[in-house]
Amino acid sequence: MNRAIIFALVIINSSCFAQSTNNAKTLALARGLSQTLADEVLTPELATGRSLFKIKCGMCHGAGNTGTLMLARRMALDEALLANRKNNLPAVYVTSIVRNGIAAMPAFTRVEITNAELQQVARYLARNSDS
Amino acid sequence: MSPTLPPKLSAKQFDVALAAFAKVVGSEWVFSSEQDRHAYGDPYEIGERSAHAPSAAVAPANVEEVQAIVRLANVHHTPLWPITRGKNMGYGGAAPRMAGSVVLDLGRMKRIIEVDPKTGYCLIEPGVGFFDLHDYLRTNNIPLWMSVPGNAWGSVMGNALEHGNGTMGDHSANLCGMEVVLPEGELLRTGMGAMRGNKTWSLWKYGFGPSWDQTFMQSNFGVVTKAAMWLMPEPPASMRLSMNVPNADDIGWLVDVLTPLRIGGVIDQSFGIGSYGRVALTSQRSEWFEGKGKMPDEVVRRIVEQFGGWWNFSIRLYGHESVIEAKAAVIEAAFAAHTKQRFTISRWKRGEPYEQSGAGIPGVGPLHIVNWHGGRGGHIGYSPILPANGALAVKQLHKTLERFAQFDLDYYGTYYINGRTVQNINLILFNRDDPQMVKNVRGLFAALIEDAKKDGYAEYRTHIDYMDAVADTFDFNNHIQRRFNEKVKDAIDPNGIIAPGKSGIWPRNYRTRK
Repeated sequence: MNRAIIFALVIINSSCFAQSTNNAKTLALARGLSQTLADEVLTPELATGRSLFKIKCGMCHGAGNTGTLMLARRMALDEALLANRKNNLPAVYVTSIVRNGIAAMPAFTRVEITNAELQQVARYLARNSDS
Repeated sequence: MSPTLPPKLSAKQFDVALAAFAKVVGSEWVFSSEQDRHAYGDPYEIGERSAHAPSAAVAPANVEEVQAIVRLANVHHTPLWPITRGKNMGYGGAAPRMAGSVVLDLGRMKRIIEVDPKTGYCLIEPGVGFFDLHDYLRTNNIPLWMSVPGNAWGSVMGNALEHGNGTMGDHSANLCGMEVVLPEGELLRTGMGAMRGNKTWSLWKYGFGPSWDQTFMQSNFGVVTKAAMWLMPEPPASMRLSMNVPNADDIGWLVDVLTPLRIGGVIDQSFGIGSYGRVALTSQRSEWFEGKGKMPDEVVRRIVEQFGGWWNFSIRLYGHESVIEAKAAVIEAAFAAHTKQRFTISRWKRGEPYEQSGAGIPGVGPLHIVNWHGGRGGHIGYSPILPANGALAVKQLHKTLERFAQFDLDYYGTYYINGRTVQNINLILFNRDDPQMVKNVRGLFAALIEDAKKDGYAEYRTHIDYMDAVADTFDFNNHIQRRFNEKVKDAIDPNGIIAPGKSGIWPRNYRTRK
């Protein structure tokens, strides 16, 4: 099973609160974002970036996962799911956020994601954005 | 900004040390830019980051490189702070206890060397994360299950070495045999591994004579480069029994009812009884309360109502269907004496969807708690170990609630049912950009340490800021444990290279930095 899908199921299924609450907003968010990423046809380079994104970032920024949930509180669902964002995600912004961290997201070291890997992820995320 | 250098080292000497490290690992694996140093800092620092600022980081690829770096560190008087993956969130992340230390990042060492489905273990390197191991087991259809912590971003080995817990209890209890680079660069294998070619290194925890594994947990006596971790063979069936319990004081009877079940083996796994504070897992404080300071009682009442109770927990049973059904009946009977509530029960049998099985599936959902206040959040935990006694648990709860109220912070506690003890994990969530809140967090933490000491309790693990304070509470016979640790440290690490200050253990050359 795809890692991103597993993570989405985990946060929805394993959170005691999510199971017991009547907090409609939270449940709607979690369920609304648990859709899988579109199987978009990509160039080999972008496909590598997508694969790296799922491995390195998917645990938080996959559909329905915690980073996506945090972003969804501040923006539209499509914008919150980074892989589906249609604009405003230039590569230079991605690399800066990954290396410096932002809000609740910690900075990533060059062991966690090398510069070369980060460039591939950034190019993938930026594919729909103006440079 | 110029780096905080290792104590007593000039910039020139430091550059010479880094150049020597680069010759071992390659210059691309020595990190000394400001951005690198930032990335190895504490992501949830409580106040000043400079107190734990690393000077640089170096990332070896294998044990030989670790040995070479450690030997060079001795030559160049460069203290090293070993990390596995640096995700010790809430305890300092990757940041060193002593500012100026060079982070020894073992994240590149991520080989899963051996997995034996029959005897149920894996032999792994420090950089193997929970996701890595889980993927490996699933991809290769290996019928072994792993225990995962709430935040499973980190290293399997690193978490166990820090006495972490997970879905199946105490991770350090599942470690069996280690390979360790000693502070002067020699390689030790513990337990049966001390015999060349021994076939039971990963199966039998002891060796002949003293067993050293504990010596390398939460310590600075060596760098663990391999360890075996026991895993659970996939059971034929599992069951989850969940319950919400309405009142704060119910924690008393819960502890008293569950303890004999846990000690007696009816319940095999340790598990947490979480308070309504778990609301932070999926929501933000502003959804409940917009004001400043701790949430008022009426807001807490509303959360408890929606949460379904003050407390919430799930017990997992694993094994043969007939056995777990019988165990469930025993548990239900024990609860019937105290409550009319019934467990919500879900069952799983082999062959049914894996996601419903109760296997440890890694995730990082609980990191959402740092978003409680919004902005740049953080958390630390104060977690004393208590005797498994309901009256003491209630007393502890009220005392802790009073302290959280005194320091104007929202309560988020969990009582972890271990058997003979209860681990009282108190998560303190804060906004790093609110100086008053940070000050209150510090006040609360200090008060909790003091309270626990008076009651005869101590923490099982702590943040780098509080290692000295917690170590100080271990004061039997004029702090003989610390004096003994220091003697050992000075004997095996005369240059004070490995993790100065870790767990309050300072080598002679840095002891004044306490």
